[in-house]
Amino acid sequence: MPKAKGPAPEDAVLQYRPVISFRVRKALGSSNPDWEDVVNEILTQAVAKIQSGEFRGDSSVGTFLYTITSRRIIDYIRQKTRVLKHAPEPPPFPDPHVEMEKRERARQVEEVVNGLKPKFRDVLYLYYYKELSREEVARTLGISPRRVSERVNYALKLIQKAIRK
Amino acid sequence: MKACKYERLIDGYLLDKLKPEDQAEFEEHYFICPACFAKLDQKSEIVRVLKKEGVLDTYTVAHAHGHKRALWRRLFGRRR
Repeated sequence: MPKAKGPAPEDAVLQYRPVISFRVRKALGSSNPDWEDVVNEILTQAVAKIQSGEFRGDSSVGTFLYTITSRRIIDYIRQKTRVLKHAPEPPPFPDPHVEMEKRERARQVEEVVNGLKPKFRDVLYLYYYKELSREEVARTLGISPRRVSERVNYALKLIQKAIRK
Repeated sequence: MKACKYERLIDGYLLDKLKPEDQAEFEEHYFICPACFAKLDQKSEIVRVLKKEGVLDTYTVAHAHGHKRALWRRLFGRRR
């Protein structure tokens, strides 16, 4: 029986671009202008491996891409520590449309945060800005850790609702 | 719908508080779990704004407590 035809390797792999980009930016830092090149290299390498039959489908495409991504990140970090670059990095060229959407969402988040009652701002400030643990926030504010979670979740729900509009 | 058990790791991951083994496990997981990745991506954007200067740090708990102390001093007339 002929094998059912799945999506082309390029299409299957390209669906993972946002996930790979997120992982690479987290490891390299969002301000690192190399991140986009690293992502493109990973995608190219993945397509080539699928086309050459090196990826036989023993694991899921996601796990396969995770492995390639992790290895490429390690290689990149090794290279960078070996070859200390002296030349200034060129600035990245962000997509103006994506940047505008991001700025708009950021404005919405700020608007919601500004309208929050102090008790909700307090938990967001201590938990996300000062990076205290839930227990430390609870001790600082004299409330239970459970109440801290409730306040964080409530504030985040309001923010998410505003972004989704 | 039941929440994925990895969702609880999102905050720790974004704030770099996970143990290395949990971090690696979560990173592998969000490559195969679109629901977790969608939440991670959205929360990452929110946390980035919350950590931006001038968003949360203009009002601090210290301020709030400072106001309370000032009120306490006014009520009891104690000044140091």
